[in-house]
Amino acid sequence: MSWDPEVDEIRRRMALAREMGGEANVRRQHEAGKLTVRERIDRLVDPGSFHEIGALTGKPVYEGGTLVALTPSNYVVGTGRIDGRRVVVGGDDFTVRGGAADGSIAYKAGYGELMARELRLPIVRLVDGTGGGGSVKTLDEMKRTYVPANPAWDVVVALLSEVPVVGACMGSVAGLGAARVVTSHFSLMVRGTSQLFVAGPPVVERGVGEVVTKEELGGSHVHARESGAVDNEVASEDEAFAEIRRFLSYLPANVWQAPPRAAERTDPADRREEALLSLVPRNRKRGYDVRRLLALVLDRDSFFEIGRHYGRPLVTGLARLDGYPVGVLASDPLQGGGGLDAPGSEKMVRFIDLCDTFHLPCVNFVDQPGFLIGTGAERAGTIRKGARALAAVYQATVPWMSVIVRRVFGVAGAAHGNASRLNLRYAWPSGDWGSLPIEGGVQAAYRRDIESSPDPAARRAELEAKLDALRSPFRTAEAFGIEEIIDPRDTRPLLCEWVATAYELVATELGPKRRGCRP
Amino acid sequence: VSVRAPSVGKVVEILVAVGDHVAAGQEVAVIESMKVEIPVVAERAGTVAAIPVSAGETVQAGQVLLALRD
Repeated sequence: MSWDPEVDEIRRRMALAREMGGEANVRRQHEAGKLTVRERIDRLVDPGSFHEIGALTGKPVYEGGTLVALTPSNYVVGTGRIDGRRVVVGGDDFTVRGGAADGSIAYKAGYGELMARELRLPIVRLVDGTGGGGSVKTLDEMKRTYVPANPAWDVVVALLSEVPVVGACMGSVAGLGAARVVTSHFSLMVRGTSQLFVAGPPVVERGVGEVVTKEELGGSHVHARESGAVDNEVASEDEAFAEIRRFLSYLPANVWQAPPRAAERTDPADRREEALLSLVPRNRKRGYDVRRLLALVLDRDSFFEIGRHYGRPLVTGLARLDGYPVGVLASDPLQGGGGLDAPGSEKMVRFIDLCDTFHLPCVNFVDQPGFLIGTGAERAGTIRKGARALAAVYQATVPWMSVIVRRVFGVAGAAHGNASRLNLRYAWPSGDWGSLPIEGGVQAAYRRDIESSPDPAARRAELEAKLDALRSPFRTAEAFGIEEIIDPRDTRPLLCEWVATAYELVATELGPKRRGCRP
Repeated sequence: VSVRAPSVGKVVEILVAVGDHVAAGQEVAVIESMKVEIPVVAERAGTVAAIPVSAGETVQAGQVLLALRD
């Protein structure tokens, strides 16, 4: 007697699970412009690679000992491959009880988190619902309430220091679900079909009296552009899957491994771009397109920007040099002159922590006029948020290279690298630095001299001209105050030479960092 | 619809006048911030209805530089 009947039963039950919340709910999900959790997983991972765990979990209906219906648990989890590399992927099934906690069984989501931790695999959370958080329906079912605890949170937090974590906001996500999206190294939202908030419109109306739509309250424009709660905003779910795949391509599976070098190297390490010679205008008041600079220096089309619309004076992203993944920081002179502001500082901390945790060598393209100044900047707490960014630079132990493109001024400028380490750097001839800019600095330092002059304006101009003549970077190089001034066209070959050495070093320093990672 | 200052700074120049039609992506003003002149572009097309600031004035991030109407 074989076990055929039971094996058939497994198949029948798995087929029931694939029906999710039923035809009508699936149709509603599609009509809302959203894919189902199973469609999402299929599109995210390599075709046919999804290995589900707990497909048999569901709320059964028995008639005389025979199963006639099964409402599957509203969390789908398992492993799959992304570009051939294994990851854990889990997502809420919105078609079953809107992805809320009362539709979950035995906290499958927590199993996925634990699996990522123990197997040391990256985890992708496709959040569409409360992600395991509460619903008042639970109260009605349990006939009692409970002191809230965030489930598996020790694991959720520990993961940040051990494996890459991606949080994708795929629908209207509140409370614990929102926390699960942002407790990640990289998070994104889909424009128009996803919203993220601590509490949704009905709760907000009752609690603080605001009447708002869910899009006004927590649309992607709020979080990817104003609050910085989420890193990237994409136009479609397919774009979301493409960004997640791309993000993970730069990272190792865990902190015990080095980031993977690209299998193919199509961009010559000795490529020297003529355009770099005139990219920075001679007129100091003129900005330039920093993303063009990055495109000319980094491996072609390898720059993946993170957080483009938040903290805009600072550009951050992952890229490759001769196939090796690196973290890239750069100032954007066309955004407030590139002055580091409070949001930019916050973005810098998270980005450096990401790179340091996963052993990504960092390249910093420096054009830093200093922290943003003025009343607005003071009220935003720029100095303390900026000091956190400085601390991140000093706590990082990954190989670090600074390319001084133009300005290095003030405390923020000084933090382009860790001056107590070797602090490797190359300066372009457009380099311009000092603790304070001459304009403005003259007025502060020579106030009495200027004010007592019969023609203060002329005296100020005279002093400025005298000091300006000392501004040449070559004078700094004479004193070994800058180690090398380079032809900007040599930037890529020099960085490609450095990155190979950096990776030899990375191989000797794998494992978790003493500093834990926070969201 | 309005064009707003991208960051705190000083208005260097307003490049359009009330009644002018501006195209999406057109440079309409220049702001100096942290000693760099920053071109400000109109995100969408429209006709300039009002210019509440003038050259030399200090503006905060988000302050309206031009009001546009369709």
